[in-house]
Amino acid sequence: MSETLHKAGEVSGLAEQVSSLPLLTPLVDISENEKELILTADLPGVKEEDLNLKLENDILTLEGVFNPDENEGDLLLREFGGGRYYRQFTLGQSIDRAAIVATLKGGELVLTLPKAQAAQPRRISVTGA
Amino acid sequence: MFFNRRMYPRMHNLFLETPHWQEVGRLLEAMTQEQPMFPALKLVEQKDRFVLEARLPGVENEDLHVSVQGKTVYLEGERKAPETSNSRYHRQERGFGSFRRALTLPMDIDANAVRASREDGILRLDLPKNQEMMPRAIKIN
Repeated sequence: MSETLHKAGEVSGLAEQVSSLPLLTPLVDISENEKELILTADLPGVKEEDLNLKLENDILTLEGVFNPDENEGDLLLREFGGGRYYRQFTLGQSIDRAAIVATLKGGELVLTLPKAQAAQPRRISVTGA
Repeated sequence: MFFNRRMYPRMHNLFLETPHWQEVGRLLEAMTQEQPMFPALKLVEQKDRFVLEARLPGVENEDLHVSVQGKTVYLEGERKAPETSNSRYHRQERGFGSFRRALTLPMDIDANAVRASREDGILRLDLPKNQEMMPRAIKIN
């Protein structure tokens, strides 16, 4: 049924570069319909130019940096700060890799991963005698 | 959660009785751990103002209401779940629904001069201090 992101097993591992920013794991939703898989990730603070999406072999890597300028003054409350969002997913064979589309808006990334034609359900008409 | 924090310590003792229940106790402990507040906030005090930032990914401007009353700032709104008819979830980690947070500042702010802006899912509020509350230098003759 969903060999696509089925078992969407994440591959653990760190990116090559070392940075002083804390590593954050973005929260994601993954949904599937007949035509595509949709991966939505929360990446608050990440700008388009600081987002890096990479597909290598079957591994989709999502990396985004949020490195805010700290406001001058006395810090009274700090429930969040900058960080490096990082997460990897394994794609199934039935994703049409060339047709993946990503949009980033208001701190939310939406990745549309269309299924290859062969993986889409087909209706078979039955003609009776 | 189903258990309030006051009854929890007593339950914890019960669960320590047998190894089996210890597991349940651990599970409960994980469940009752306080959920992070939404939205997460950051507050900085400057000489003449407070700067409040809130992490609000995926919340539309029309679903977000900011108000100020005296010393207190209210952030209210709703994060709407995406349309998901005829699709099924493999993973659902993000939360949706309405939220409300109130934050009381150390002093009154000038509600009319508050400015709000939003960028990449981070809301920034500029909250100038009420001038009457500001320290004033007094000239000595």
